[in-house]
Amino acid sequence: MSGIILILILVLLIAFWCVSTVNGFKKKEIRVQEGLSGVEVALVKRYDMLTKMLDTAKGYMKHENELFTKVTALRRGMSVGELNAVKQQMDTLSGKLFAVAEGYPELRSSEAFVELQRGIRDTEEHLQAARRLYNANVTAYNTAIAMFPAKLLAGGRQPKEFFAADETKREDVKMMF
Amino acid sequence: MEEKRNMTDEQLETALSNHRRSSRRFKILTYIFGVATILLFGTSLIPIAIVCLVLTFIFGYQLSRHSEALKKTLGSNVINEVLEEVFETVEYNPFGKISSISSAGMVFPFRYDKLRGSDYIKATYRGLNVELSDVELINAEELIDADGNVDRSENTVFRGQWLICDFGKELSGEVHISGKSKKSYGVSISGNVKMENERFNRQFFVNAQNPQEAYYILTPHMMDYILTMSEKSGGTVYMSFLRDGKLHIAVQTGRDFFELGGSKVNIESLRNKFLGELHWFTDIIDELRLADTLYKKGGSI
Repeated sequence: MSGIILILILVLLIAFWCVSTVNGFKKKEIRVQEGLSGVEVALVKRYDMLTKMLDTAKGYMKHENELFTKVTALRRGMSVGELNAVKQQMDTLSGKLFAVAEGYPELRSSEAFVELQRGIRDTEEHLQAARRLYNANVTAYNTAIAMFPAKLLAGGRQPKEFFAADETKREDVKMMF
Repeated sequence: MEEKRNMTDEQLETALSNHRRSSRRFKILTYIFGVATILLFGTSLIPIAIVCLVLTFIFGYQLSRHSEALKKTLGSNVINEVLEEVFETVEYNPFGKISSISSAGMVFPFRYDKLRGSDYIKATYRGLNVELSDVELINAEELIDADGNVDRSENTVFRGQWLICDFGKELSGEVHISGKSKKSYGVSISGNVKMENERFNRQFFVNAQNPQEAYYILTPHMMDYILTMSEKSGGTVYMSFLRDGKLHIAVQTGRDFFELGGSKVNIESLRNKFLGELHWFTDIIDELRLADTLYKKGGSI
């Protein structure tokens, strides 16, 4: 009799563990999704800031048409890789814009430009925070589904993609808004 | 700050030593006669008990007189000079305290009912408004036994320093950091945000309404710096980054600022000691103002 009770207790314990492990996966997955939407929001803000900045700059940089020649749009449901590519394009564009602006003292001294420059730096820092949070959530999720014995319950869950860290701008991407 | 220094180092050392000696003497006498009073009231020797009680009050009064004189002499002759060296403008009150600590929303592993403090400094440091003081947080408990007798007790749950620095930059959220203390105070706390720095997670709990705020404020550089300054402090560190741009830092050092200590009084080494105590805090402000991006940039987020 006591043997049966022991087996029942063991079965119950295993059942509890299974439920809490699977729920843990779910929670971590939700955090990853939340992290990704944080990245998207930060990217949209940065996109808007860059748009405003380019509009302001257009008035001063009449001979820099090259800067405004390609459109890159953000859309809903982009993959992490696509978002990362957009981020790198924005990095390149803002870097280039600031560099070109050095040759236009009037633009640099305009109040709107200075304010937008500050805003862009701020949105970049928010984006960094969102990226770090997302990556920390991905690490937690990927570790959880890879560890034994929890990995036995991971089923078809695949590791999530990390949002790449800042790299030196490798491409010369042109954007127009 | 109105009292100017009017003694040589030797005279000052003698005066401080005398006050300290007298304080110690009267402290011992107060304790001895206090205990004797309690014991004698338990016997039938009431008249002697009353005499002891009167003597306890007299020695207690002498103790507070000498302690006050010691603090005033130290304040007007050493501390003020040190403060003027560090801060641009400064008001120092050896018997004052920071009173606006409840607005910090610090996440402590204890409850407290009372606040005591001393060595209050209100100053301007590199253009920023700063408040600093010794703080003692006390938890008062009332225990009622089966016969209805009430037993009141007071426990000091925090003793250390509290800094408020107004960086004048509005943040979009608040973040609270609590150092993990080895001592248990009966209140369990936890964090709702895990940072990517494992060493930081082992030493601190982080609480924020929005995890992204915590990541925005606690940059990798900021976390490394908090770990370094926490190691240097020799106590548990609590921090609150508030929406209005104020930063609160509480350090549970277990001791007070600007204390004479037990060793032979030496004015030069005292000055260096006090400067060192202040620099622990001003270095944090310098670091946050100059090296980290959070308060370095202007405007609000």
